[in-house]
Amino acid sequence: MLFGKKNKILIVDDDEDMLSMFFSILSDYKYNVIQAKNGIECLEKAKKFAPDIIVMDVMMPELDGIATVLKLRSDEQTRHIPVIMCTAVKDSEDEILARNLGAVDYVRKTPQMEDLLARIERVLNQ
Amino acid sequence: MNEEKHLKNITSKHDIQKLENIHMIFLEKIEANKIEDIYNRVLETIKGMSIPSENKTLENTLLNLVDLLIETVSSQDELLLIFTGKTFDEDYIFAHSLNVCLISIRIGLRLGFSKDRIKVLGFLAIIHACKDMGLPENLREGFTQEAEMTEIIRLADVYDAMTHPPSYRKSIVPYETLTSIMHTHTFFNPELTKVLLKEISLYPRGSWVKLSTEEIGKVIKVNKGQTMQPTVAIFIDPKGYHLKEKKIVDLSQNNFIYIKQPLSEEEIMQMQNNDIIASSYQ
Repeated sequence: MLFGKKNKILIVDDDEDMLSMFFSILSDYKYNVIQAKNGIECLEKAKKFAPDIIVMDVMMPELDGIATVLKLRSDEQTRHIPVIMCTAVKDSEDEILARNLGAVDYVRKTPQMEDLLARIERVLNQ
Repeated sequence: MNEEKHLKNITSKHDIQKLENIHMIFLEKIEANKIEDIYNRVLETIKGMSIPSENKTLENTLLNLVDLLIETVSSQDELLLIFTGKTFDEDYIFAHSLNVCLISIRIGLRLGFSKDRIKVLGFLAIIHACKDMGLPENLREGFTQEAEMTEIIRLADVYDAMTHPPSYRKSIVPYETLTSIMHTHTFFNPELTKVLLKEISLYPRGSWVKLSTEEIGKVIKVNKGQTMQPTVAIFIDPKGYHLKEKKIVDLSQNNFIYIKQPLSEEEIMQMQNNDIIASSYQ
């Protein structure tokens, strides 16, 4: 990370409480946080803001997380952005699928953010 | 308000069911049930496999099933095109694994894989999510998974999971899924994507389509070699009324009518909710 330049992170979740929790913790940390509440908004904001990383919920109404990853991959402007998928229920077929679509990580949502922060850092430092 | 909307949804689902029933009657007349029988038999077998058994027994049972599938896929062009129906959630992972296996076998055959390689490919495809099926993960240990096989299974997994998802996800019509896959350029091996495109109809059996005549119907038969011109049963006339009399159009025999756009089941329901399609018969 360049001095004084914060990494941009796009958080996608349909649960507003989750979204504000992510927002406050990640903003406190050292990121510029952009929020989207569904897949469609994620695609728009990914193009508009060119985030360094996307952290996205798997289950969402409208366009769900899995379908959104495929859409991100199929757009020249967004296909290179690393995506970490978050889920409330860990399902190994969903994890296989997410990874088959190029998601760099697949994590279970927990109130403890240390694990997620470490994973975000690992992806950004690669 | 929410309750009202909920009730309306139920009515729409009921209407869809009515259409499905009519559709089944058409199907029975047009298709023999043999392929569905094989599909369902294999599905029942793999569902029963989570009962603890010796690895060798599981492996042999699966390899025998894969043999049966290879034989069926080689002789039946329609097999790939039947599994677009809904699956109950408890059966989802089994149906999905079977579909991934069928698609992978189909691609392997088209690429000219030897019989032994196709068998390994089919086996690895059917157990790609072995953990969710309740099968031991070390089942794959005795087999070498070539890089090309991994790519094929990955493509088949994504294609089937998008077009035929569990109930908590919306399905994406094959046309849109394949377009997205193709637009990823090199993320999926373009050669394999081309093969998938040849093997899978953009409008498989069971898909809703709007024709150039503005009529809406369901694909009831994919015509060999003319996958863009299937046979369609028309349910809704250009004004949005359900047809009383059944009407079947074979697009491969009719050069003047073509598919204008694919429609998802959700879109059909939305049209009913918004009264674009009348909820009663004319």
